[in-house]
Amino acid sequence: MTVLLELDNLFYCYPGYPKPVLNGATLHLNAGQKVALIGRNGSGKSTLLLHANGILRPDRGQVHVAGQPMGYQQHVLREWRRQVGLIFQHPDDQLFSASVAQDISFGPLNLGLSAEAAHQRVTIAAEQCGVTDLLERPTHTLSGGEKARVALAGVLAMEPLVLLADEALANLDPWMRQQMITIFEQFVTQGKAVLLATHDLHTARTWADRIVMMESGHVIADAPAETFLPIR
Amino acid sequence: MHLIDRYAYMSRIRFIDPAQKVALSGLVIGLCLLLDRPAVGLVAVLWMAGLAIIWAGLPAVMVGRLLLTEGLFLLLAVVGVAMSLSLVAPPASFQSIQFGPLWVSSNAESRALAALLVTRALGCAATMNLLALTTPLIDLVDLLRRLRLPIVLIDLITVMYRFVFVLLESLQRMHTAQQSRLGYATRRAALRSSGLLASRLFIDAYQRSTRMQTALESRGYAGDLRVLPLNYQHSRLVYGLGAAIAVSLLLAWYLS
Repeated sequence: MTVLLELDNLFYCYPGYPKPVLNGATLHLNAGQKVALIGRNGSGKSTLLLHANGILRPDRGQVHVAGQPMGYQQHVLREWRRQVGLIFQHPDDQLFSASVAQDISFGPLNLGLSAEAAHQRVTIAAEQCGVTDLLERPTHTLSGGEKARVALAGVLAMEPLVLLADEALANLDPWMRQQMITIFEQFVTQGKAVLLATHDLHTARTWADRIVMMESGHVIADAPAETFLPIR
Repeated sequence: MHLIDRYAYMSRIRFIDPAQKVALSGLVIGLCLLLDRPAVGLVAVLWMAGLAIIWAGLPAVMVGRLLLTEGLFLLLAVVGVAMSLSLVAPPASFQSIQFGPLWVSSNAESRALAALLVTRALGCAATMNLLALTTPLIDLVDLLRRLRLPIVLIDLITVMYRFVFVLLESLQRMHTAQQSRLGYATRRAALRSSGLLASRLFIDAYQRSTRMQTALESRGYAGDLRVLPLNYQHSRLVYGLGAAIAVSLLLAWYLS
């Protein structure tokens, strides 16, 4: 099975903090996999995802995307971020543009695509996320669920191989959560992979193929979802 | 802010090229300032209110209320121009009323100047109303982009505009949270809560901006916020309207 993302023995300490947030974290993600990343607050989940997208650079360890070790030069980062998309818990942090269509077009244009190609990507991503009718709307008039789908469309428009979702289902109602999960499912059926950081153990057990558990900056359990015991 | 924005998005002329709308507004404001007769300002007000209601489809009551508020504000502002207070009796050419030792006086010249100021300012305000209530800020920002203004300035306006609404939401949430804990129960508590709210909002804005920076970087941000340009309709009617308005304002100036 093709390994799309490998995080190998990562160590990271935020500047000014004595305790490392990542302490030898190792994780791999295969094509077609749905992985749930669980763990307490402060266990290092979000920091790990930021490393996977190249926002943070590990003090030690290596990140591989589609078998290639990643560098941190601007042109390498651009390709890296094309392949590994990241969505956040609060879509308001992600939506910066006044109109939905413009916001979704931001990523494709940063990849150096022409306006025409970017427009095509916007149309496809909007369709995938069910936000076609919102394209002309200003972002500040959207509901929470709509914002979440638009934020997801903004990442899918970059056509990543791996989708990282940092508690992206939190704060959503069950219907909206189901819609997001359906979009994740469609994404995975294209031979891509999703890594969802979540506190929702039910979603983790019912949706994911694999559950990875973090504690104190490293992975303490990594097993198929069906073998993962209920946590009391 | 929310209300202006809502009307701008609902307007029937929302998709007309903002360059045309700005040019039309510039023409009317320019003529109001150049042609120094009260009738010019009044004709401009009638045109702009009419266009806002008939062309843009804005509610007549809202347009009327807005103009009334602006008119009252302007009237109050020119009281000092139309009338003067003095402790000595004014010249005979002034109309005056005496209140004890105080003389309130006015003459035809000062009243004419006040009328000119009010009508001119109201004409300009009505024009800006039409522009603001039919053109969302993103269209104006897009126009600035087309005018090749510095990218940094345009990016700054874009993010500031977005943050206004994000911070308004935060403000409302925090205010509700304070209210629920009796934060505004007494005048003293209200003062304290308002101070805390302001400082907390500043921190919140800073934290949000950091998170937004991270989110932008994750989508390949490399220094400028590149987005697709918006599509607009080019309206020939705007040229006709511009000509008709210009002729009518010149006529008003010539005949008055």
